[in-house]
Amino acid sequence: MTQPKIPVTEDELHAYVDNELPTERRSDVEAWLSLHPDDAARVQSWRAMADALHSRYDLGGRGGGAEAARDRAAGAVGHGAGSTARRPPCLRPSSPAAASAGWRAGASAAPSPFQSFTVDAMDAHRLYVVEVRHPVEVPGSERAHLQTWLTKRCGWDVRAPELAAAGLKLVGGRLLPGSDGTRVIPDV
Amino acid sequence: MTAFRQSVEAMILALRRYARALARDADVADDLVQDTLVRALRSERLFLGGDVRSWLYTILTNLNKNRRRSLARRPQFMPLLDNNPDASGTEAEGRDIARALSTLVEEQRAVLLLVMLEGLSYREVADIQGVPIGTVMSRLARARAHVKASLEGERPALRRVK
Repeated sequence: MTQPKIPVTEDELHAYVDNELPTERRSDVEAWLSLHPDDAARVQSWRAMADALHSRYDLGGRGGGAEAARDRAAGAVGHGAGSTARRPPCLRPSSPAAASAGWRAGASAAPSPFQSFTVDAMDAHRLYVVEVRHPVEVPGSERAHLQTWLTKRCGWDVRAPELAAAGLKLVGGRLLPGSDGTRVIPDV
Repeated sequence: MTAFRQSVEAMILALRRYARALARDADVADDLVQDTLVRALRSERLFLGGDVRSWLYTILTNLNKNRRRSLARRPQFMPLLDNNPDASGTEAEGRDIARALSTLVEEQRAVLLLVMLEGLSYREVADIQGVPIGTVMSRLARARAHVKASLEGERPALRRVK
């Protein structure tokens, strides 16, 4: 690692973080940062700041991630979906962290598009996310029973997704009716 | 739907995000987005090509500036408690960053958000604010230093061992 010929200025540190720096100067800045821990810490703090901004404001719907995701899903299936399915005012906004993952096993041949399923899953999530005592019918601690039961009821092999690697824990699942038959919503 | 309308519609979520961070009040932010969309769609014929995204951010930034200007002439009500319902389910880090943003002056907050949250280039932000790039860069540098100090000041600081 060689010392850059021209010292790196503060403006260049900002430009580096914001991808505004000419490509040929980037390696100079990287070399500089490896030799100047104070500047490296500053650059790191700006990146952390950007992360904090995104985690605070991304999917900026009133209901946090759930509503924004639903808006997107509604947008994908047409304009009617968003307005016809307004959430009842009694539901409190859910945090992005509580976003539910809806899935239906063996549904590849299903007639309804994935988007409309996402909207249904989001509606179900909104309905149950406020529940303190009965958020699910079968708790995640009974994963095996949940899978057996839902497989039997749905007529296809239902498996709860393994999302521990993504930092998500299975809360449980419940059986819901859908436009084309039975659906399964696990809350992850 | 025209391509113009589609590109405006595709921006709604991003505008909402920017407005919420800029105005720090969900209702005000929704009004800003609404007014921005109304203006954009009404002046579709005045839009002579170019980047719809920058144009929408420009409208929203200016509407917010006007809003603040008219607010300044009226007495202000200051909330005694930070009871913003949006702040409830979010992690502590998120609340800290919102508080840090609120300490910035308007122009610096806009630059910080347009660059760091919306991913606009310095050039685009300079055009939006109608200032030279150098001004954008100094605003950004000051905003970052200010937010950093504010975030560090709020947390129990680790004592430096000499």
